[in-house]
Amino acid sequence: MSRMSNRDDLHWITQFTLLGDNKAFEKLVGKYQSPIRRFFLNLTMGDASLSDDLAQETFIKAFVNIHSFQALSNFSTWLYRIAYNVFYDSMRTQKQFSELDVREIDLQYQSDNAFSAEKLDFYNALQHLKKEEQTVLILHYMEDKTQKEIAKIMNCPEGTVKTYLLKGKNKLMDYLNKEGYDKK
Amino acid sequence: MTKNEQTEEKLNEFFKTHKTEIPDNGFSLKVMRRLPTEKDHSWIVWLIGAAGISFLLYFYIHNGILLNFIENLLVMHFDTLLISIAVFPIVCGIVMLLWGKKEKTFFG
Repeated sequence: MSRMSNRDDLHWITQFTLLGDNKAFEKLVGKYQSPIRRFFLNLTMGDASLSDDLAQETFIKAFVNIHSFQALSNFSTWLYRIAYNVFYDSMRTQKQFSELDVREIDLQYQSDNAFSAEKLDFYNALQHLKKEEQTVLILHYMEDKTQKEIAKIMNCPEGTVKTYLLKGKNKLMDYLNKEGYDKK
Repeated sequence: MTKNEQTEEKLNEFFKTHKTEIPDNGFSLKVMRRLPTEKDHSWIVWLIGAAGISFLLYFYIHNGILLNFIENLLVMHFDTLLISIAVFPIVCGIVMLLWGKKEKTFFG
């Protein structure tokens, strides 16, 4: 299934780069818009407007740099790598970015967006993790990426991904047990 | 079931219950409208090339160099002729190779 999906991606990339067929690129956008927007939505603690802006920037960067895609990894991994860079670039440009500010901003986002109690629980749980731990857990459990793929996306050694995954898992399990998640 | 397996199951369940598919709702169209239009500047290269060739042809014909070259072509050594023909593609090849290296970005 995944191999077929990657074959489709390569077919559309070839059509776009060799024939200049923009419709082929539109198919790639259509296929990946949901996972990429969801990835940003989770990292921004549910800020739909910011997520869409970041997702648009990701696809524009993919469009401009698609000639540098060498098919050494899946298109999906390559796209997530751009998304990861876009997110961390946007974080770096925000001045005076501290954990406290993040929580204040997140609470503001949460009040601006109509969330269900379940979603709030989810974002509250994620807030107990560092941004790197959040990224690894989201990519692994929600986007079904392997540790090797996550290492490529985050451009770090696989050992570092394992450490983030282990620490994130422990923190999240502590929180879920404390909140009695299994009893819900 | 080991504790590790229980943790994995719990986390899988936690994330899967919060996994939602986001409907497109015109997002793809918005992206396609915002894509930069690539301007093709290759015509400048062709224009400069054509102007250069025209100038050289005029210069060679006007000064009799072209006629002289054609006359000498028959008596010219084969290796000299081969080198003079091969110089242009070799230089172009090196330029294209260097250009290609410059174009590669960290996204690959």
